Amino acid sequence: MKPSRTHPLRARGVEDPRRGRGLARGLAFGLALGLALPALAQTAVPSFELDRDPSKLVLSFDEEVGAIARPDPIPLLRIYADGLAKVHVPAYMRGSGDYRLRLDPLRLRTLVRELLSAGVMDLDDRQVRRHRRRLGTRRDAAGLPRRRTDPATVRIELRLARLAGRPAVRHVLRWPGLRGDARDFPSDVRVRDVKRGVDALWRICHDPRLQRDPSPSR
Amino acid sequence: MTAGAHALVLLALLAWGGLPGSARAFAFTFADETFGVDVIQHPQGYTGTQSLLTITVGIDPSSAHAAAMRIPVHNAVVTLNALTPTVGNLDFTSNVPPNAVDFESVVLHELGHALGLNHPNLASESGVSQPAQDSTRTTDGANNVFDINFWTDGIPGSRDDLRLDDVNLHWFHIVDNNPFAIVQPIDRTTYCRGCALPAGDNAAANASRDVGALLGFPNTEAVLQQGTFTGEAQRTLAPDDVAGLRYAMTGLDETAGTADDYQIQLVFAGLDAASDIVIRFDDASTSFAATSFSSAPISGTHRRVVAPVISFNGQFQWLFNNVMVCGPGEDSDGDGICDDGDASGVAGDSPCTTGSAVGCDDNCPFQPNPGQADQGGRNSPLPDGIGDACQCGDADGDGIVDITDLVGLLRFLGGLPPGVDPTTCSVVGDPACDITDAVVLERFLGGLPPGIAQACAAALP
Repeated sequence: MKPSRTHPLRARGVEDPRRGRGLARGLAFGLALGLALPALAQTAVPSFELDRDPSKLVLSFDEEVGAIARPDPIPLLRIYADGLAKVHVPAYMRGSGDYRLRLDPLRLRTLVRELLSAGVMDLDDRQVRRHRRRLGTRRDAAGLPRRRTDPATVRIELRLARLAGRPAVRHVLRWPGLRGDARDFPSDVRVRDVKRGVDALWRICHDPRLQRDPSPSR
Repeated sequence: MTAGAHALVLLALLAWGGLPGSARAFAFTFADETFGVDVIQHPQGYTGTQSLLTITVGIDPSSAHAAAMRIPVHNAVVTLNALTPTVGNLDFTSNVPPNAVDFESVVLHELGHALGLNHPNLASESGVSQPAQDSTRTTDGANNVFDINFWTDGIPGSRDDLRLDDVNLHWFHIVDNNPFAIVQPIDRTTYCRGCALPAGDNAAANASRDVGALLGFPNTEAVLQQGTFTGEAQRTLAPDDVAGLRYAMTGLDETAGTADDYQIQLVFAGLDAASDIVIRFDDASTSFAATSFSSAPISGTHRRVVAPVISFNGQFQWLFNNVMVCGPGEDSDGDGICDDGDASGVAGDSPCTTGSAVGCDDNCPFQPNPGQADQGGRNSPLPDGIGDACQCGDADGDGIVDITDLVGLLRFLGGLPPGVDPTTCSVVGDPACDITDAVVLERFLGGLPPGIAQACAAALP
C-alpha cells in the first residue's frame, strides 16, 4: 500500500518517508482490524430469539450486597420482552424508588448480544469459582497476595426463547466481587468481558431518561 | 449510647473483673487453604519485636464525605483502643434512621479487617447465600463445597452445625466454645482452631445475634460478623472481637504475659491520605464497603497486614454519627463534651452554642458546662464562643462581661454583697480577684488596653 499524499501522518510532520510508510501500513492494518473485530465478535454470538409474549422477563440484574443483612429481594433491573426496563432502587440507597424506561427493540437485542458476547451464558457458579481461584493463585504466586473483604455478588439472569437452536434457555451468572476483580485483574479477558456486560446494565440503571414508575408491580 | 447500653457495658465490665482480655472466638484474614489455616494476621507494622504498635488512621481528604467521616472514624478509633467487650451491643434506639446504614458501625467492622480480623462467619466471599452465610467460617474442605447443615436447632453458626469435611477457621474457647462469655487469659492455653471441640459440639460457634440469643446473650453480635442491618447501630465491640485482637497481641509465642506481647494504639490522623490505614469513598472499588490489603510473612504461621485501604460506596443512605465519643484525655473537664468535639484536630475552632453540644467543641474545655450555655460575650449579648461557665470577667455569672460585673466586683472588694464567682472574676491572668481586675475591667469597658485575659481559674486546666 502506498502512502497517500495527503496522509495525516505526513501532514503532522513525519519526516522519514520509510517510517511514514510503516506507520501508514500499521494504521491501515489497525483500521482493518478495528473494523473486523466487532464483526468477528458479532459472528461469535450465537443466534437467539426473545420471547414473543411482551410481558415475559428477558433479563434481570442485581448486585447482591452480602454485607447488608436483609437485602431488598427485588432485583435492581428487570427487562421484559417488550423492552420495558424496570429499575428498583432499594430504600437504603440514594434515589430509592421505582423507575421505568422503554428500550427500543434494537437496543434490547444489542444489549442481549452484548451480554452473550461477554460470556454471561457460558459461565456457571463452578466455572466462576474456578476462574477466580485461578486468578487468586496466580496473584499470590507472584508474591502480591491481596484480599478484598465483603464482596457483593453480581447476578445476571437471562431468559431467551431460543439460543443457538435450543428452546427456552434460562441461565444465571453469579460473580462475587466483580468490582474488586476488575480492579485487581484489569487485563483478564473474562473479568473484563463480564465487567463490560455489567457496565452496559448499569448504564440502563443510570439512564437519564428513566422516569418514576407509578405502577412498579410488573 | 443509650442508658441501657451503658448499663450493659457496665455489666460486661463487672463480669470482666477489670482484667484485660476476656472474650472468645474469632478468625484471621489470610487464614485459608493457600496460606494455611493456622495463620494469625497481625496489624500493619508488626515484626514480632514491638511492645507498642502505633497505627495511624486517616481519611482521604479528596474523598466524598471527608468532613462527615471525621467523628465516626474518630469514634471507631476510640472504641478499638479501649478494647472493651460489651454484650447487648446492637442498638435499636440510636440516631440511625430506619432506611439508613450506620457509617460508624461499618467503619468499626472494616477497621477490624484492617487490623487482621476476618469475618467469624462464612459471609459473602464464600459464595453461599443467606442464611448459610451465617455459618461459622471454614474452608470448603476436600470436596470443594461448603457443607451447610444447621442441624437440630436450625440456627447457622451454632455449635450443633454439621460441617463434614469443611475445615474450621474459627478460634474457639477450648472449654466451652462460647463466643460471648468472659474468661482469662486469651492465648494458646485457652483458645484453639484445630483442637477437639467440647464434648457434644459439632462445630465452633460464632458470635452472630441468633447464636447469642440461643446462648443467653440477646442483642449481641460480633462487630466482625458480616451482615449490617439498616436502622441499627453497633458501635461497641463484642467479646468475640476483643478476643481476636487480644489473641494476636500475645505475639509470636501466642502466650499472654510474655515479652513479645504488644499493645495496639490507633491514632486518628484526621484528613490524611498518608496514614497507615486510609479510608475513602470509592464506588469503583466496592459495592458497599470493603477493606483491601496485602499480607507479609513474619514467622511461622504469623503474618502482618500490609497497605490496608478501606473503601465505601456512596450510593447508600449512610448515617454519619455526629455525636463524638471522647477518648482518654479528650474531655478535660469530664462533662461529656469533647474538647475537640468536631474531630477537626483543633480544639476550640468550632465552639458549641447554647443548647447544642453535638459535633462541636466544648466552649469551656476546663469547666463543666453541660448545656454549653453561651449567653453573650464581652460587653455584648451575642454568643462569643466562650461558654458562660468560663467567661473570664463575668463576675455575676450571666454570661456577659459588662458594667454590672464591674459594680459587683467593686462591691465585693468593698465587702458588700452579693459577691462574685471566684472562678471567673479575674481578668488579668491570675487566680485572684482584686483591685487590679477592677481596674483592667473598667479600662476594658472604657475601650482601653490591655483588655481581658481569658485566663481565669475556670478557663485554665
